[in-house]
Amino acid sequence: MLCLDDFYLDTIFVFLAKSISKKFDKLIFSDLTINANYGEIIQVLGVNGSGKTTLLKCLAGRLDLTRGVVTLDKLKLRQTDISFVSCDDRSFFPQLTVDENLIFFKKFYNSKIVLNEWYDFIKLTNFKETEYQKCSTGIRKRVAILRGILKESKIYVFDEPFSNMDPEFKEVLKKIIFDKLSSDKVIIIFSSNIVIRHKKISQNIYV
Amino acid sequence: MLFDYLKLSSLFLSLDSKVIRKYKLRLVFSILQTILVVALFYFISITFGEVSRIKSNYFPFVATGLSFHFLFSSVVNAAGEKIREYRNYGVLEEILFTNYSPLLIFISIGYQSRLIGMFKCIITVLCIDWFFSLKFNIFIFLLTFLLILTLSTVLSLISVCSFLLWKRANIIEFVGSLFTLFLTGIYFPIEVLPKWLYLISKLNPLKVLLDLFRSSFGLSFSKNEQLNQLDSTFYIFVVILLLLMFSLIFYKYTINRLKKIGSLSSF
Repeated sequence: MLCLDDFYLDTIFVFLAKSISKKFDKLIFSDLTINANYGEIIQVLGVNGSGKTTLLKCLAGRLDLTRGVVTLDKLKLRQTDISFVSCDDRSFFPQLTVDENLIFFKKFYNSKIVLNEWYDFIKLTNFKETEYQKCSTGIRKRVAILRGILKESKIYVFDEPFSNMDPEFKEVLKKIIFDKLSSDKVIIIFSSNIVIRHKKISQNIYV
Repeated sequence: MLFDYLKLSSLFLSLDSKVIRKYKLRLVFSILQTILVVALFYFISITFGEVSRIKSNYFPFVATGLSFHFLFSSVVNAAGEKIREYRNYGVLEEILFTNYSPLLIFISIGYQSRLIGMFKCIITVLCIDWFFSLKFNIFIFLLTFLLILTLSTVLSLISVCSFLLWKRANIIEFVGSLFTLFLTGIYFPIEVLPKWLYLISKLNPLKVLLDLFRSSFGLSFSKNEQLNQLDSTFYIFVVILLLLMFSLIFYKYTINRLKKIGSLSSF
């Protein structure tokens, strides 16, 4: 039966994860409610191993929830709505160059984004022709972030984008998340183990 | 759906081509190995001459079997091998959770290995034709070729799912090898098997398919109980339908299970 709270939450928020729980061998999180409207930026905070990635993967539909459902515009979230930006440095074809990898994913996502514009912005121009396996961890992370951006979506989920980043790129990344990507048509969720302060962050969720 | 399938197949094929260009010798050695295997059996065949069990020279018997085996095994294992490769690279999760259904991805990947398998099959067929002037029936050959591709594609889906569920162990690969090596009559006629294995072999759809394949060259080696071409086609068609139903249920179960336990990302 639909209670007044459900009706209220559904009406007010376009993105709604209500009373969600996830259990593997042990309980990761339970009865968590996350809601947001377009234009909002949510920060998920927690120490290492607290379940931030699991929560983000559940929100992105990559893992099934033990209880609860995630909806966008009152419909169950689909993969077309969401871009999960995994900052894992081992998720590309190692023998191919950075450019070859990103061109593959651009075609795969049917993306209209012009790669060369982003190469300059994300400071990857000099590494375009470098084989992915020969790139440093920091460069690999930039490539992963650019891939996430290539999948044009309504929700962007970044998994620990600020960890192991040099200060210069941290600023570039802040510009990407808080200025370039943020708009009144998207919701951004990112996780971090240190508090990132920015006026555009609307909610902090502690796991 | 068809457009997406064609688009994805060509995209993955071009990706695999880029990768294999970095390992040029791998492709050359793969083709050389095929020629060596065929040559090995040619010399074995010369050594033994005509084999009374099959009432023919051994070479056309084994070469048709090898041709069938190259095509069948390459298609069955192509997608599973790619899944293993993508998983090792860490890109599998990125590829599976997109706008496309994982099912579409599973049937679109590994086309390069499939094409190499087809190429090996055709090389062997040409070798048979080179040494023996056979009564080649193009219609039966194409029909069998299509049936082999369909059956092996359905089996490849089961193979991918079993690999995803049980990680490094691919049960289908093992069962497939067992069936193709012993119970299909590729290297020896099934009549030499013990009675109980012979009975299992007779029902083995791969054996029926191989008989059909051999008959497209005007060859027949089985003495008894040879199904006619129409019956064989119907039998294979029913097997394909049953396996297709099973593979779709298995696929659904696998994806649900993986999303529940999260093993896709924690390989």
